[in-house]
Amino acid sequence: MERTAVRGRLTWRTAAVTSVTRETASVVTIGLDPPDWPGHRAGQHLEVRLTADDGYQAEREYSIASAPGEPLAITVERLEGGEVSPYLTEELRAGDELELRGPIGGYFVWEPGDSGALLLLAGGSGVVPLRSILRHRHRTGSDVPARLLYSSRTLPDVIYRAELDQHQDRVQVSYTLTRSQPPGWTGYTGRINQALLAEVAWPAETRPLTYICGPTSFVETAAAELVGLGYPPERVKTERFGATGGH
Amino acid sequence: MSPVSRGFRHLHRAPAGEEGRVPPGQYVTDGFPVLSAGPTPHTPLEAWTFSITQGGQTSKSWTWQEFRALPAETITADIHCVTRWSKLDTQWRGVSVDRLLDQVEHEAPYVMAFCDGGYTTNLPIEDVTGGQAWVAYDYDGGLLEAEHGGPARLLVPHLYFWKSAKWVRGLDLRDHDEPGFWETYGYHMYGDPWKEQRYAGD
Amino acid sequence: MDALDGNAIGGLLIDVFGAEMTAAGSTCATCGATRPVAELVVYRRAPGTVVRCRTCGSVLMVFVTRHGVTSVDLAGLATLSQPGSALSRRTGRDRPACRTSTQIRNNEGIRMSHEQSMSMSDEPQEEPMSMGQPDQEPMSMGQPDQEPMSMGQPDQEPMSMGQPDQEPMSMGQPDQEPMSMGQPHEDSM
Repeated sequence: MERTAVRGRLTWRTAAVTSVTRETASVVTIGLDPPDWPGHRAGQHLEVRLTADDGYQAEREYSIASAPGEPLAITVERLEGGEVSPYLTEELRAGDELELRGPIGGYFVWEPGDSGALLLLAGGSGVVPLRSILRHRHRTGSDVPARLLYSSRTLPDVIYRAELDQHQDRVQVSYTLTRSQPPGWTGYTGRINQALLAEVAWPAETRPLTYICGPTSFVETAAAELVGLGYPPERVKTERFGATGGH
Repeated sequence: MSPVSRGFRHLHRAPAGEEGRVPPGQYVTDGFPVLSAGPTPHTPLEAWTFSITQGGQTSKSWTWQEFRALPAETITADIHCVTRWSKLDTQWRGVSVDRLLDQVEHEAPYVMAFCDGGYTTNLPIEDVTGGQAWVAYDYDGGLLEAEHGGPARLLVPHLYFWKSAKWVRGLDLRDHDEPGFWETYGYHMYGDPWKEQRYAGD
Repeated sequence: MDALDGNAIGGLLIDVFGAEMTAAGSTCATCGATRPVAELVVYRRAPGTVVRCRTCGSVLMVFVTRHGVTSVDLAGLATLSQPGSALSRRTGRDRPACRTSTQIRNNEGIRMSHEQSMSMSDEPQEEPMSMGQPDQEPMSMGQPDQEPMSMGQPDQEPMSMGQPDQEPMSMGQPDQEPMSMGQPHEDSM
């Protein structure tokens, strides 16, 4: 029987690694070229699988950093004591192969037709799917207003900083640094709280569409605070990364 | 066939000469992975009790202070998780289950361990007696951390580690072997790592 | 150890249900709370994957992979609804003792759990198996000596996993690699 593309099936593909670009001391962006890649939606993620020579396998999920239509890329943060992320961030190089499947996700996705001013809250590596959303917004010429509040430990930990700073005309970016700040820092400091959100977030009555991504504790605090500011929970989308560094 | 990932080292091998200590299908780890089916409970010690129950009745119960006053043993054991990691020479301190069950008159062939958070696991009485099981409250020279099952967990090293129930609050004596939490969802009723009894029917 | 949310099991849900399910609506059978699957609490690093209600903590779904077959127990859910389709699954809320279990063999289509009547062949399927066509009767998952439990209510549209005007969703291709999940390994020791 002829094999046709089956809706709903996720097949493992072996992708060529086209580039490994260092973003910060512990974060890299990996360019990938999988065969027959069906494309993706902004906000989706991939599963990556490593195989050792004794057959041992380890799998992890990583958010897609590229916008739909751009060359596929993921951004990975090295987790202390991790099993997969140290390999991806320190060993993997262009010319290697990487097994992946996807794209995955249908809740934490954004399309230009979605109504509502965009509010994006990022904790550490939670910025990755939000960057895909922002690039998609720009590439499609969407004029939906957008604000990003990005929480990181220190300034060197901020991922995509040059890109975000360069495009402040397209999206208002606010940074908060929770662990230490450089001399003369004029951005926010400390973990997000309701006061900071009241200053930075869109007014609730404008019915914004919110995406929050990062470590579980960051996401839950931010979501609770937004609801406390009158944001309707059904328009606050959340994606938790578990306990990580970077925030 | 998945392609081998160049340079992906699998670090988890048994120390040279010690391969016989590792059951089939297991890998040795230096860490102590935290696996859980639910949120970490935090029962205050003043509210904590350990009980032996039968037929809906409590036969014997200890408060935390009473429990800590019981004679304790130091245990060194290899532990084997069904998710394929093994950890060698782990050090614990706790009370032998023999000592606890000796306080109760019973002829029950089985126990069901019950825990904060609702977790349960079933074991034959003969596998938690004869110096094979403890209720442990110290790990690696210090208090057992909450994420690893503290204040106290069951320790039954000769079976897969899901039988060493975290946050244990007691043993219910049973006439029949009934499945606990993971056993209900398809894991093996007994769980001998040397026979790779991971799933029902293995 | 922090819990994740339903986004983290997006791939697992596709393997088991053959469809994107993170945006699907769920109702807790214990407390009645409703929310998208993506917002449920997920514990992955365990002998299985446990999904709990964010409101009351009850277990809603448990996924266990044994010997290449992933099975899911949905007894804690009252409903699981694929948005935009007629899929609406009523589980045994009025039958507290009933557990419904769907085993999906990753490369060979649906295999029904041993607890239930075999309304489909027990043998590996040569052809992809559909979850339902708009013009077929709802799929039955009941016990052999009880009334079959419908995947949809008799007075509703038959269940379809996909949009009504698209091809029915297939659950497997015979020539695919069996998926092995490897074993979960905790990243943070």
